[in-house]
Amino acid sequence: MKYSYYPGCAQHGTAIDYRMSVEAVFRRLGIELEEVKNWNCCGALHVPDRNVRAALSSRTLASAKGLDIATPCNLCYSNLMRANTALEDATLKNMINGKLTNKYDGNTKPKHLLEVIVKDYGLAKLAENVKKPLKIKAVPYYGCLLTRPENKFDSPENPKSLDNLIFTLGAEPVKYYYKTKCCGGPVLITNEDLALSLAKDLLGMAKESGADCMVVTCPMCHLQLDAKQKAVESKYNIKFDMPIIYFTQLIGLAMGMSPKELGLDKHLVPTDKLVARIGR
Amino acid sequence: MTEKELPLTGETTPENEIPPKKENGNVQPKKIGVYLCRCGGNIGDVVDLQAVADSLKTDKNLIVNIQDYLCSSQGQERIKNDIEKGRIDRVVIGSCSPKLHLETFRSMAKKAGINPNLLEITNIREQASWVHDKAGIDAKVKGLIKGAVARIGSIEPLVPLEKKLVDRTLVVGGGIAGITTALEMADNHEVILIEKAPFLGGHMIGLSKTFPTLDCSQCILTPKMVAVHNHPNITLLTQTEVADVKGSPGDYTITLKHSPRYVDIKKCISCGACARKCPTGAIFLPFAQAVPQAYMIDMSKCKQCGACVKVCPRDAINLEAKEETSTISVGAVAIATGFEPLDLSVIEEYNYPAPNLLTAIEFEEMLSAKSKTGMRLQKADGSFPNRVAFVLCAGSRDFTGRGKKYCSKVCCIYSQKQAQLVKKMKGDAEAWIFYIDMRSAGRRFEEFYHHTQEKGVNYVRGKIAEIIPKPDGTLMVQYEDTNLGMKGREVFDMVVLCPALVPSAGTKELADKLGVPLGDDGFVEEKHVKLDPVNTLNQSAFAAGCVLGPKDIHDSVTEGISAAHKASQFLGKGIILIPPEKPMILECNGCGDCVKACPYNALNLEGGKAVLSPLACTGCGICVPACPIKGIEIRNYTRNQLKAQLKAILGEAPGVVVFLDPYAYAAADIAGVNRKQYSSLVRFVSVPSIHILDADVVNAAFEYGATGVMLIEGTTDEKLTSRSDELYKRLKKETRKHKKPLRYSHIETAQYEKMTDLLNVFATQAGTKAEKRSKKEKGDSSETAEE
Amino acid sequence: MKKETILPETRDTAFRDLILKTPVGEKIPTCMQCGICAGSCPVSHEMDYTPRQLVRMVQLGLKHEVLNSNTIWICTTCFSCSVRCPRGIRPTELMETLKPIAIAEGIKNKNSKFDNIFSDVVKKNGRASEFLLISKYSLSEPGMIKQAPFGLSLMSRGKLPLMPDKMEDVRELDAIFKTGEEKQEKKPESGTKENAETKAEAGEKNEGKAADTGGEAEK
Repeated sequence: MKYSYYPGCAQHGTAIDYRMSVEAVFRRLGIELEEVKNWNCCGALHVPDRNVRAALSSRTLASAKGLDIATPCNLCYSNLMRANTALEDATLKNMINGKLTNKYDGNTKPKHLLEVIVKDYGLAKLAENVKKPLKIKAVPYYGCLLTRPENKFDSPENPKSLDNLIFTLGAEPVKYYYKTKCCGGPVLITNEDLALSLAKDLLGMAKESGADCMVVTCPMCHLQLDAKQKAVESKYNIKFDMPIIYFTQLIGLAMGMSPKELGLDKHLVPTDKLVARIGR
Repeated sequence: MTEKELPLTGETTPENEIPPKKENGNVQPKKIGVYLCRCGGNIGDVVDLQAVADSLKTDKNLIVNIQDYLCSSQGQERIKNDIEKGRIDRVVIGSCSPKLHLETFRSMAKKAGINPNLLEITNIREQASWVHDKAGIDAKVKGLIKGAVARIGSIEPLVPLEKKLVDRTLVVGGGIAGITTALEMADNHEVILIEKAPFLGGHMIGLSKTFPTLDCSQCILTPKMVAVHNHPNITLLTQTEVADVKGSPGDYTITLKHSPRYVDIKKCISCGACARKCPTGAIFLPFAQAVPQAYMIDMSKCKQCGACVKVCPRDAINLEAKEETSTISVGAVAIATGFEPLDLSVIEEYNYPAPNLLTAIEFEEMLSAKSKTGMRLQKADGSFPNRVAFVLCAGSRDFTGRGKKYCSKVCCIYSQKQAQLVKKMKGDAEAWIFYIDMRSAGRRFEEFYHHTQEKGVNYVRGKIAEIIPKPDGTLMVQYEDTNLGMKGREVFDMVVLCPALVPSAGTKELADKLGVPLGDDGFVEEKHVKLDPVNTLNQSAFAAGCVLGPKDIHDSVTEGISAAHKASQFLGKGIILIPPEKPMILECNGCGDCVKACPYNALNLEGGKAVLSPLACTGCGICVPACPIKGIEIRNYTRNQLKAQLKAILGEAPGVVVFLDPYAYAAADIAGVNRKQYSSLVRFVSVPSIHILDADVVNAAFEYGATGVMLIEGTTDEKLTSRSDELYKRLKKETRKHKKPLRYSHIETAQYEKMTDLLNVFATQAGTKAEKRSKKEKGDSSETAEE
Repeated sequence: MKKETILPETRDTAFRDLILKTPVGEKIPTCMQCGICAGSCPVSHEMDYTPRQLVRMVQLGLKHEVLNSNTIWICTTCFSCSVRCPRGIRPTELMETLKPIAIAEGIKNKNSKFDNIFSDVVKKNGRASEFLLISKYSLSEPGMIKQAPFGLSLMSRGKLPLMPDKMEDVRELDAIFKTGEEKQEKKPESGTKENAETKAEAGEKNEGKAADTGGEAEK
């Protein structure tokens, strides 16, 4: 299996832990990720003009060289998917192609790494790689942009793929009604109070469910829920102590990889208790 | 066009034909009256009818007249007068769809003294002025009218065949609509009433109180159910469905499928001895008032111990019972198969099903004759819900494909009734109604709304956005109070979803078997939405109740009475008229190809020649292209007649010829009613079935200037549709030399949107191809071909 | 915010028509004001008009109210409203459509400022470096100093590299960033105010060209 790989900016910054786990796990599973040369930012949610964002993503999609393009980030995934939809408008497509050195035909398929694992690689095959069934309770948290507005692999409101993955790894996905709610990340810088209140709701619901950790698929969700958890705790005077784990880290743990190899020590919310539980 | 002397086969005899009047020993040419209707401005504002009339003036045998409303007595009088005075003996009308007024006009023509078949309508409203703007429409209408004139001149004055009706009606569905239909008919006609469930009463027997009077549902329904049971002219069959339909309108042979009850209804006296012995609770009486009163067995619970068999004093139980079938013969069918709730799990943000999250139907049942809680309103834990929310429009008014586009009509009022019931059961309980628009149109309904407000029910204008079940069994809802522009969050003990009502499962299968088209919403399409509301496009099939769309008990009863009346009227005639447009066998070499081709066994070889049984024949015309020596023609749809019509249509201006069967024609009419615009290059030609067509006709269309030809088939009769692919391939091959596009499409009546989309695509495609062709031709001549 | 009276002069029909002609605008006239968008929105309580009200105001052409509301900036782009709307309207995309128009109209706030910084960073480096973004934004938002400990905690984990990640070659990006301006072909119709700041924000040197293309598109 081989994919063209679009890591997105966070992998070179706040999501270093995500990057480490992706590299380790995919290498072990034998899924080849070939990084796109000279890739550019997708514009996230902050390049305000969506046509510019469509153009930025088209440039990336055009460099996939006939492979499906995989990405670890919900924002990148959403922008790539939406670019394909936007380019169904022939006028926009022509205009954008007018600016690209490599023209984009509109046919590259973007895939989130979760989809690569769950659909393409397959959970049955993944199960064969599980050395250490996890025996923990985990919140499957998808975030908003993995399944909305477009995706080709799961429901926009009540997706199941991450639930199924958690189950495959020997853990129990808890019933979590906020699985696709917004984490608040997009307004973190400009409206921190609002961002923290959203994170509080998510963490509170996770705590209520009795889960040992939350599993995420997006660097921004991780930043919000992990790096900002302390801020939420002190603002609302609640203790969550809720480890936030990338799904690739969870896979790695079940495959018996070391926490360090998976970047777990880079988290701001300590993961040692969780690791200890798994180790038992 | 010359007419062959046509020998007659079958039983048709021209009866009312007026022989051509002879003057000075010469046959006088047929005189045709063309009457165009402005239809107020409906047609006149878009089509320049005067220009159409002027274009016909060159023909001296025509009288052309324009009226404001041709269907008015004044308009009809004019035609009648012209016929009676001998000014004309054939009539072409350009007006609304023949579905509306053809019969009116034809009976007028008959009174005036001509064979009614000699009057035809060209549809220039639903299929022209309502679907095109002014550009190109005059040329289209001129062509269509000229085509109709060319056609009417050669029409044979046939009379319909007569067939004896079976005076027995099948009513499908034992809810309030079916019960009413059956009872209203049964004094004068034999009725078989079948019901899928093990008991009568449909949804109504599962209701608590009925709005707006709050009388109890079972109290008003039970007497009617008993009346059905006791009526000597009604045969009631529960656990029964239609498996197969054979025959034709007025004379159906229908196979019924009966699922086993394991208890003989006739023997069971409901003593309950069986249930007392049963160790697993598998044998039970559905509910105390159930009709028929008889126990039944749920085989998923039965352990086959036989205790019940031994104890039954009447020997009524048979654990070996199997599904059975039976055959009945009926002349008419009333469809009253009702509705079911939309599966609300598609609205994922509502998280249905969950404890204490119910549909309104489940809420009703708890308080009805079918109650399993002793008619107590209670939560999953048995306690009374102190805070109840009602969520309107769950899956209704949704244009995204997730729910249904339509308003389900009854929810606004019944949810208020349910809220009243909550308040009545416990005065300090809270009832909230989340609505988008409170629709209480109708007699006594606004008063009901007002009364519910007085009772202290809390109304919130805003659609519930999400429902989150909490571990303690409560439900958290989030919404916007749109009157305030404020977001709100509340926790309730019980949330009642008012689901979109959809046609019950199996509606489509039944309708297909009966040749009854459905609308794009899945409900039975009325023959006319306003004027013929319980008739269907099948003259022997009628419909009543929620199979025609969501409605309340009052309206279901009204339709039940109407359907009974219409069915009685139909059966009362004793005979059914069968269209006389049947095959005529002009030449026969006895090869038997047509006999093999006929899907209905209507052709046989007798003495080395093919002979038609006209009553078995549906007029599909498959035999026409099947005959290797072109010896078969359909009366009034002969190759020459079709060609003459095409020549006249295309002589006015080139266009795209689209052959429609009657079901596709109905789809085009619905597109018109919905004002779905499409290219005015489209020229419809109505045929009894697309299978009468062969390369002769299609090639002629191309030669006369058609830029493309399309065959649209709407019938759901598999005997025909299974052969369409072959027909298309054959035509494609045999018309290839024209290098013009030919297309076949199967579009059921409900799919009118697909039809208009397709027409547009095809018209553009045909246009582009024609343009390329003409460019090429020009290019060739000037030797500067660019392509 | 003081609300306007709905008057013929406050209803800008050109603005309304401009929005209705965009891809998201097609379904806006079919809004039935059910409020499922605002009810679904995680942040509608912070908005001075809920998404439902914004759609209504667009229907009326209340340009000033629409562009000056904080609604379009509060939106977190989670698309909950868009997948639930029974009429198939996508309020999220309406916000996205309105943002560049508001910026062009000279609307300035924290969010537009951050978006501007983000765009600049991406245009220059091809990639968004969190450190660059936060430090640039902090220059104009002194309150951000409170975030210093947070930044340090990230740094201590190696999560906030000081050296910005860059593309090897950013030459294509200038052209790409012009895409937006060209697609705004009908902008002049909506009665844009001549505002020096607007231009500085919207796209500096490309203005002449954008106007040209706009003119062409209108023909």
